[in-house]
Amino acid sequence: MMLQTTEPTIAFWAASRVAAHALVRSGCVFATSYPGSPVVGIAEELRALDEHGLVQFRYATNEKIAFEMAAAAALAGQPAACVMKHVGLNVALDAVMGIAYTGVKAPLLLIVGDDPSCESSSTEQDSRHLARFIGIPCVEPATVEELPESIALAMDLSGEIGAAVMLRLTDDLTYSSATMPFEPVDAPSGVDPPRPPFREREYILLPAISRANRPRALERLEQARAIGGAPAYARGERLGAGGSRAFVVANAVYPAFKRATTRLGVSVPIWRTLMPFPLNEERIVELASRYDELVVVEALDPVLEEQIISIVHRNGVPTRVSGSRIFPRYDHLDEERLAEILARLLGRPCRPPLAVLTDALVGRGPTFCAGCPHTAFFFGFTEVVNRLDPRPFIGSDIGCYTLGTRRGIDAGDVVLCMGAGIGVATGMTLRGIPSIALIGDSTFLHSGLPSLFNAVEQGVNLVVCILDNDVSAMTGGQPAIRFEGPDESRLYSLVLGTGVRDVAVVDPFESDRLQSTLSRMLQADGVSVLISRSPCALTVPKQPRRPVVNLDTCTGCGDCVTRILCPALSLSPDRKSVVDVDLCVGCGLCAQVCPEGAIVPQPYVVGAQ
Amino acid sequence: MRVTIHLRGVGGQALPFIVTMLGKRAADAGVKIASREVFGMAQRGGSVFATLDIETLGAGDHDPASHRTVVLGLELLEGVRGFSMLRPGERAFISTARVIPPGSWATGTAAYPTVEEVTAIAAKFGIALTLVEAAANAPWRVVQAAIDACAIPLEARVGVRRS
Repeated sequence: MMLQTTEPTIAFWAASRVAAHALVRSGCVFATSYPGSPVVGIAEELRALDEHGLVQFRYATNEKIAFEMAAAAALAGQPAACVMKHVGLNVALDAVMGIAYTGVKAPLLLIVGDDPSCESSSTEQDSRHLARFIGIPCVEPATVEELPESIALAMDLSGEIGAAVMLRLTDDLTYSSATMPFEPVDAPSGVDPPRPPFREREYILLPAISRANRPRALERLEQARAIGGAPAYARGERLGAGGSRAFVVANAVYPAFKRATTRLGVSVPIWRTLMPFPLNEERIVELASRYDELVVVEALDPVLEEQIISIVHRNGVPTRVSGSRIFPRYDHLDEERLAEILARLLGRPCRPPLAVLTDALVGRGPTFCAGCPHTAFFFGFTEVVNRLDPRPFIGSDIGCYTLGTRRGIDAGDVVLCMGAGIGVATGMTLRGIPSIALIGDSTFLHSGLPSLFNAVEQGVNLVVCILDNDVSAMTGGQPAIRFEGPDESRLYSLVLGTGVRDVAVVDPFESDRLQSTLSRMLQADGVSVLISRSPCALTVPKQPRRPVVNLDTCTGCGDCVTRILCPALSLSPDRKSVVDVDLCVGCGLCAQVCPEGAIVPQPYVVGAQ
Repeated sequence: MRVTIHLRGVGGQALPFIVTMLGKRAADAGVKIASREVFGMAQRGGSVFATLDIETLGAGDHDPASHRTVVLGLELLEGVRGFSMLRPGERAFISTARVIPPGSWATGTAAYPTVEEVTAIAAKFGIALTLVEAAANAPWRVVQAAIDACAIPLEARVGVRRS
């Protein structure tokens, strides 16, 4: 632990910053990640700390590799952490299961960001379940203020029992900030030199060794269960001597629960814990025996409720336990929803907000940025593909380009998980359905390479389009690959290496060339790969030109707004194309789209109208 | 006093930056502030929103009746979407700036509301609406209008140039 020498000042702290700094302050010397919301902010802050020499941080090609790298440090006796989103844990699970068996020689924190309501994810998942399945303890703070102590507790716990510990966060917390006293870390943690496990054998998952490791893993979990009974983990409010009903509130829901009870003007007994798995048995028995009923308030799955039911049953405590039949098992449990349910439960009046209003309004889903190379790609792509009869099946993937599935573009029929587009399209092709796969550069490196090799091995006719924009754009522009070579695209030689013989690199803003290349590939035998290469619009400067609409030749056909869905383009009430010069970055695509040639790029100096 | 501010805008209007700026000012002024649910999927173009809880220590702090909710719409349509967070009698400050969702051209299922329609909706549900003349790239004007009108305890310390 760092010695704190200065008085903490009160400032407005973002959860991501607090988490990263607290991690380093708790002794972490090596951290890894694959970018994913809602925890990408923690990784980005760690990357910034790395630049200041306060920690070593690396992005890996995927979450499994990230975890393996972090685990290596912990196996060599150095405190480490790995940051990933919940679905990233699915990818890393194989390695995490192994570490649950071997244990670790230094603290290893698995920081997982859950996303109830799928704000930025493909599924809702409750990672507390996975902690239970893997067999490692789970620590969960409720607020930004509780983050530093939770991270310190989790690191201490991991070191003490010799097991990896999951720090489970939800988007409610990671997207929060608060005024609080906190001092950022300003010096790296001192640490012993690495001592890798030479010839120690228990880190080799051979059957005989695994059989011996398993009871040890279970013992570590029981140690954690005992430690979870310490006062540092439990939080109680108005518990007193007991009564008819107390609320066990999961930390992910606690802030909303408090706001809801304040709104209703009620004050109820609350018990919560920083360690939702494994629950300390004595604490639960002690709590349950003082109340007739425990109402468990948790979002997603009844992880606390089921543990409490079994503890209460095992110990013959006659307390009623409820929760999952009262609260929905999907989406956020936000203040309004909780207030409504609690009002019913407690017989209180509740004045609902005017929620009914929003239904009639035009939606504003996420959209491609002005100048996005994906917009240019999908324009050329749909020009070719929508003219085919039958139109081929399109397996798409996870990234900004998933927005190609939106109405008006409709390029993407199945999106499953990272890297699945090529596999699904290969399967469709084997069943006789002409298919195309779309995948981004980061996703291709994350888990598309084996699928591409597989497609070649299967001997199918398949066109794979790799949308290469240099970065993981959706999570804020993390570099996808560091490559300093002569190739027109960094991915070119990788693709050749899988056995693909038909590869082309095209600039999607040269739409004619993109369309002719795609048309040719759709007629070709074997696997063809079209690499659509143009940097993310957020990483390049705006062009010193803006399209000017010739009002005499603009016919108001609307092709410019319906064919490319650019945020900088709209139609005036008298149906003339209008360019928003502030949003426009001067990519010039609309000039290629207009059938009348009425949109002409002109030199322009931003701000000098 | 407890005020909850729901900020609504379009990706690219710097809503998270406004949250950070308000937070820093509150910290300087000794006001307790917390932001939450700073959501929005797109970097540019999608709906983005954030909630700010502002608390000043003093009499009546824990009286639920003293709690006020205010909606700040940095753009017309997103501001109207924020109405869903209000109860009759509560206030909304909404920019007259219009950023038309590009997807609406393709689907054409719903129209973008006019200022007159927005005023009518507010009147129908008893929302005290203040329209603020502000360009889409000048969202701070909306924030400043609300701070001035609602006596949100940040006015003295918010040192942003009013242009």
